This record gives sequence, structure tokens and C-alpha cells, in this order.
Amino acid sequence: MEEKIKNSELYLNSVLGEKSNFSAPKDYFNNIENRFFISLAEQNIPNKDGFSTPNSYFDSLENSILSKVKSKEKTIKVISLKQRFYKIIPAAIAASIALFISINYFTNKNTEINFDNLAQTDIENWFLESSSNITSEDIATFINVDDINVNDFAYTNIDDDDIEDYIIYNENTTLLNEIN
Amino acid sequence: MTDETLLIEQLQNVQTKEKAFREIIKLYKERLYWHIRKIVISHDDADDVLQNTFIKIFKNIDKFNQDSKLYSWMYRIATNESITFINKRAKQRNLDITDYQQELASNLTTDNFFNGDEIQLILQKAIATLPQKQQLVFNMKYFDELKYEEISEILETSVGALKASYFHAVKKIENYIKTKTN
Repeated sequence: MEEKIKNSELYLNSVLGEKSNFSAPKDYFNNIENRFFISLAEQNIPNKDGFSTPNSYFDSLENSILSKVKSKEKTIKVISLKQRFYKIIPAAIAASIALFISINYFTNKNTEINFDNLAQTDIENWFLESSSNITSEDIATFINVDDINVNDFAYTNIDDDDIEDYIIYNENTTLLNEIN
Repeated sequence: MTDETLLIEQLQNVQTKEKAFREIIKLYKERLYWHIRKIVISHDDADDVLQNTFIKIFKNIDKFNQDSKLYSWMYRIATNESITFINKRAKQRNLDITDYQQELASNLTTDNFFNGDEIQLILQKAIATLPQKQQLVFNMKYFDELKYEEISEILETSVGALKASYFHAVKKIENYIKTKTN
């Protein structure tokens, strides 16, 4: 009998090999301890959360949600700000041009430019910017010598520093010659 | 064509949208409600967030590109809405989110819609001590009995990371309960 079993085992081994041919999922044995500890810990945690809802709360939920969805759809009609902005641009340009033309037209229509209505600062600025083109002869043409008295300059309060700066920065050497 | 694909097609068609949406609410109202409720804790807040979730689903269904399953997408919206809600509430109360959640759990003793016993109250306080992600993973795995693969799709986190989160969450909750009950 034993001999027969031994023979059969030898036969099976020769046919099937010594392996069982079963396999386990990858990493199964790596986290088996964790899974064991988790299921042990879970036994100490209550399996119900204790929350409840008002009676028949879920019964009317579809209707209340749908009515809210519909009312939101009616009240909130989203208009793209970008689109609205693009629509406004041509109108804004046209309005700006019209405004510019009308301001220029109405303000310049009845106003004749003369020396009296020029601002003092405008005259000064023009003089400073164009002074390189104005010769002393030009000035002499406009200023009447009879109106000027030498005493007009006698008491003029000019700082010594200003005079010094003028002499230093003015390239007109004749001034120095005059001092000498 | 699967039921889900058909439903999505109906939802994206103007003529069948409302009927299909009613079907969606019917199918998912309870699952989404309980998911939201476990995050925001009070029934009234859960009701508000659930309504907002469905409104958002309705408004954005045309943009749903089927990269994930419909229910994962809806769960993700519900999760985001709930987290945004409690963060906003905590900010309004000038509280840190952990302190705010502890306060919510403590208020359960006077909540008409909390029928839990002492140990269930301790459980809620224990969950409130966990980091946000661990809270979500614990609730979804332990109470909602979702598979790691499903949670992975909803939270867009790897299965390995979820398993680690769940392991830590369970150990912390167990320790908290043991400390409070002994």
C-alpha cells in the first residue's frame, strides 16, 4: 500500500512539478500586516455615524432641487463681460470722435487769437524756446528806448551769486573785457 | 451603450435634459447627501451644499468630457463644494479649520438630527482631529464603503497614498477612542 502511494506521489511530482501553481497579487505579502492592523482597529470603531435627517426629507428632494435650478436659470442670465466690452468699443470710439470735433468746433468758432488773450506763461515759454532765433536787434525793434531809464536798473535787486553764475556760465567774453 | 453613457447623452441634450436630471437626482441624492453631511456635519448645511452641488452639476453637465465616471465627477463636485463651504464658514468665524470642525462636532450634542450615542460622538470628534484628506478617505472607505480605485478617481490621488492615509486615519481614531473611553 505504502509503496503504491509513494509511486503515485512520484508520478504526480513528475507530471505537475513541486509547485502548487497558485499565485498571489503583487505586494500582497508586503502590506498584509497593515491590513491585519486595520481590520483589528476597525473593530473598535463604531460602524454607524449617528446622523439622521428630517422625516421624508429625501421624498421631495427632486422637486425642490429642480425648482431651484429653474429659478436660477431664470434669474441668472450670464452675459459675458468680454462680449459686452467688445460691443461698446465702436460706440465709444464714435462718441469720442464726435465729442472731440464738437468741442473744437464750438470753442474755436468765436475766439480770435490776439496778444491780449495769450497767457503770460505761454508767451514766456515761447520766448524761451525760440530765444536762440531772436537777436538783440529784434528786441531793440520792439522796445522803445524812451520808455527805459538807466535808473530802472540801478536798484534792481540782483544777488551777487546770480551775477557770478551768469559770468561763469556765459561764454560772452566781452563782459570780462568790460570789467577790466 | 451603457446606462451611464445614455444618461450623459440625455443630460447633454436640451430636450431630454430635465428628465434625465431628475433621474440623476433620484439615483444619487442619498449617496451625495451622506457624503456631504459627514463633511459639513449639520443637516441644514448639508441640504444647502447638496442643492448647490446639483445646481453646479446641472450647469456644467455640457462640459463633462467623460474623462472619469459620472458618479466620480459628481462626488468630486460635492467634495469641493463641501470643503469650500466649511472653509468659508471657518473664515467667517475667524477660526482655524480644525478648531471649527471641533466646534461642529461638539455642537452635535444639541443637534436634533444626531441620534448617536456617546461613542459615536467621540468618533465624530476623533474624525475632526484628522487632516482634511484623511477625514475624506476615512469617511469614504469606512462609511460609504467605496473601493480604493473609486476614491482614487474622485480625489485624484494614487491608491497607494489612499491606503496609507486610511491606515493612519484608522490608527489615530482607534487611539483617540481608546483614550477617551478608558
